[in-house]
Amino acid sequence: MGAQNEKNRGKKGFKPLYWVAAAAAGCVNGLFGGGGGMLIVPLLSGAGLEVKKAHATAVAVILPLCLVSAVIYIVKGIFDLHLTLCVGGGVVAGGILGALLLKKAGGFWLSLFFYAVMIAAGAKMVAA
Amino acid sequence: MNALWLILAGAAGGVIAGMGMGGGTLTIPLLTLALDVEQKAAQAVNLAAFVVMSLPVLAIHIKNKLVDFPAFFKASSAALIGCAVCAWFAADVPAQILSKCFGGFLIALGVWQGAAAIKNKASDKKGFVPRHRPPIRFNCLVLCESGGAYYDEGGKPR
Repeated sequence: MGAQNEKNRGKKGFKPLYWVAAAAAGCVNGLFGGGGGMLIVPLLSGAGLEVKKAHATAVAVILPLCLVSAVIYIVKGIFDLHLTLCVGGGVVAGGILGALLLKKAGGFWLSLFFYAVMIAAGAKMVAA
Repeated sequence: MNALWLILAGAAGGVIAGMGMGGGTLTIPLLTLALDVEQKAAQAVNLAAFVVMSLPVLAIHIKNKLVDFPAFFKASSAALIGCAVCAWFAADVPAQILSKCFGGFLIALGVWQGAAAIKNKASDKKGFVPRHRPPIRFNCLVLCESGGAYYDEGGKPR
């Protein structure tokens, strides 16, 4: 029963609304060059995936999105090699460090701080 | 632009991403606000960086059988269509408008996720029963539980 339930989870829970939400998350990722993952994870959780699986599957979903958008951006001429090499190198190094530093998702206060920074940055971008 | 600062900005975003809190949402404003990188260039960088970084991560997840393939195929097919259309469209949107929209998206996301984190924390405390009876029922409510173990409906001690 348990195994059967686990097997059917991804199929059963995918209602029409989720298709629309997935398309919307794709739109956000294409338009802003990121942020799709923050929408795909809750979407997959809502479809019945457990937290760890939702995070892992979200990475798989976002990868082709980023690949396709990156190609479109390059075709459209929005690409800076020097910038990409510098920042990209930093991101990869930081990513490994972050994964080693904190195996489980960030602590409560750390994530609250992160969301506060996010709101402040958003406000500054809207006001600019 | 000083290469060192660019690398540091990328690393800051990468650390957040590695912790699983959505790195691109920090990398992009860091590049545009602090280092004066153009909005679309910052978005392109974030996309390229994610592709490189997620490959080894994904390999580990697949090996650990954490990727749910039926859900993956469904979500990614719908998302890919939306993504391709919007990425094509994004190139023609003026950077300033794109930046303002992204700011709005960040605010909405921050409020939504922050509220979810607080709600999660509160529900964590719901199953908690203090060892000794709190002096008044109100204390139970502050502790995020009903106090039913120590006080009746009217608030009288049991």
